[in-house]
Amino acid sequence: MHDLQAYHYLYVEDDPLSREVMQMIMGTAMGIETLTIFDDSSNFMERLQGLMVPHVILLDIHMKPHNGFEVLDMIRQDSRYNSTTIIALTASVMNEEVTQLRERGFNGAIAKPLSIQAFPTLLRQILEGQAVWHIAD
Amino acid sequence: MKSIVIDELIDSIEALDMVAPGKLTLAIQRLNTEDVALLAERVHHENRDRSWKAAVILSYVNHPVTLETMRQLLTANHPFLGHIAFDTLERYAPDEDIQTFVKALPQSIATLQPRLVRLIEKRGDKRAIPVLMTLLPKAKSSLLRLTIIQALGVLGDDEVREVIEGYVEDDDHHVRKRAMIALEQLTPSER
Repeated sequence: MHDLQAYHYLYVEDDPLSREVMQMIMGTAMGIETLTIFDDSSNFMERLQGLMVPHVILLDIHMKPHNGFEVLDMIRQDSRYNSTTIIALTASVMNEEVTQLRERGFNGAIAKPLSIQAFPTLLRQILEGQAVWHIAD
Repeated sequence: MKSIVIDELIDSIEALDMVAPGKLTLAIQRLNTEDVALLAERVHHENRDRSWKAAVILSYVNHPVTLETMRQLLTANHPFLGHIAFDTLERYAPDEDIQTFVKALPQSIATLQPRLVRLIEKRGDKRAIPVLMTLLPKAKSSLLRLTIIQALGVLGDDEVREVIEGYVEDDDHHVRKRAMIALEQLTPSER
């Protein structure tokens, strides 16, 4: 059983409302004190390298200036982050995007808007290696 | 249980119990109808801390009083209460009248609105269209604009076309893309 409070997390998201929800879920409801949030993907690798290596990176897919796929590629090119779990967060309900997320190397995907009660379970399942591609309810 | 025991139970609640009810399981099994009514009273307590803690306990009790309380909480001005209410109604009242959610939508807190819109879309009730149309121009969050446009694309017809066309030039790339998809989904005009 993973101790979710023991991990370091990074969330990259340019939508303020989504950031607020994540703070509420991870910070308050899950009691995680090790969540860092970037409010866009500019200078991403430079900022990432300034942090302790995160166990989990949660990436919004549709953000600027680099979208989630581009950010994923940057991370995967740096061997320091080989063991980091990278999860896509998307409001898309299109099946082709699910296929793309899987093929490009994300470890899982969770649909936005997020549910307080469902998110911790989905996160835990992804960390346990289960196939979670939770795009459409 | 006596009210003093209920209050002790409420005071024992932590935020983590919202997502992991394990320690509450035994206490919840012992609750009777009178206890549930007491908890519902505490939800409306002036003390906001006690209010959300009571709501967390109630959220794990499948009872008519719980459902009625949660309907009221959908519009609560508190960061958790609306979400707790939404999850509880989804869990225990999957056939809840969609009008409960449609009516709550304009008054609910911003973080809950995208979830309400997604539910309304899934339930496919066209009575939500006027509410969605009113909310869309006020939506500052790209996530909320996106979910509303997506719902209008599924639920709407030609009457929403002009409104959605206004979003094909939205600042947000994803909203623009969703507006284009929604326009394709709408029934073609017979004019």
